[in-house]
Amino acid sequence: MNDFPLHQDSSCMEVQDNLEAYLADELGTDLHATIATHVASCSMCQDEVRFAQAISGALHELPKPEPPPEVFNAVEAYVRAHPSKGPRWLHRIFQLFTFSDDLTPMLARAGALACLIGIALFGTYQYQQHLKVQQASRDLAYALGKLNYAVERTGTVVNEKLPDVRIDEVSSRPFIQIETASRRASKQTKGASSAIHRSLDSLDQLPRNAPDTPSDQRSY
Amino acid sequence: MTEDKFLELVHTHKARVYQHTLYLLGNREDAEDITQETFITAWKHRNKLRPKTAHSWLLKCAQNLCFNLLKRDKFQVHLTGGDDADPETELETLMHTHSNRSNPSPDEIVIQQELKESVQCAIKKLPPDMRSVIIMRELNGMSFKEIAEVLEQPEGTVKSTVFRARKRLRELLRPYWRNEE
Repeated sequence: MNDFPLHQDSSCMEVQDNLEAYLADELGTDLHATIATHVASCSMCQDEVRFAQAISGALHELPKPEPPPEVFNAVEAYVRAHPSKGPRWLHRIFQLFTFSDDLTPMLARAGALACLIGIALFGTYQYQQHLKVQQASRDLAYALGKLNYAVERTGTVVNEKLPDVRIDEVSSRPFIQIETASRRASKQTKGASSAIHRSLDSLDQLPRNAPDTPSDQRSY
Repeated sequence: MTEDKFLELVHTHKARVYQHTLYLLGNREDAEDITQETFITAWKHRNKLRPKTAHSWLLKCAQNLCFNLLKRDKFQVHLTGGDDADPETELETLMHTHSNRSNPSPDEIVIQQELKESVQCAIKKLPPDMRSVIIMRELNGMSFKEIAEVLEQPEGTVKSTVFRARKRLRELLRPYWRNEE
């Protein structure tokens, strides 16, 4: 079909293959320069460029007819005969998510931001709960230590019912249990404190000359 | 989308859709039918329409309907010799009608006119995919990116198709160019 090759060489063939991209300025710099150099010196390729440009001109000048009014009338008749259904307010809400180009990505961004903030707040809350449990654990250990000391010194066992709960075990449970563990640890600490006070009261009732009674411990 | 807004959209895009279908099918009646069907389909799927992408959506819909019609009717445009060619189609007649609106022209303009008519014939002889990109690029003045959105193809593929189509047009029109010279 292509009857261009009258006296063409490889450069002319290259122009043939790349002429449209060359005219559209879509070639790489090197190839564009090569073709431009060749076209400047080849009358046949210059003619080919003029030919391509004439076709472009003819394409741009093709008529652009309007559709007859019957087409629009038929579409309008169909649209009027098949109106939108459903309540107007529902339609408007639906439109918010379907028709607005600007609103949909905005809502998506807002949702993503809300999720990030939620995750950050939840993480902070969890960390605070963890600290609370650790503190309660330390308080309880200290209180139990004092209680043991009081029992050793007085030889009296205070009948306090301390729940048999170990904070280390409780604190490793799922996050839902942490608040409960914290409350229970605090309760145990109070119970232990109460036991200590009772023990120390017993200690105070002992004769003053009891050996090795450190005054600083009695202050409890 | 309300009825009135949709009809505004139809009013805005009807010419481009009609031109696209007319040049793609080469037949005025079919083009009118497909244009009408395109907008009715759009109304049925109005919830998918976006104002910014309505043009691409409508052209894509029109193009699919055109290709279905071409496939259904086994519409084939063959490269035919001048005397064996089919009678002048309505599109060519229409083109004459439009061309005659311009001022009477001297010889050079007559030659250009002949080339224009030849271009019109050559477009009909392109394969449908090439015809489609040439119409969108040259007639509708769409960017490569816009065409790529309509065809759902990479921009590079669209460029390549456009360049191949224009090269093919050169091959088809070369005899006319030589005669003119």
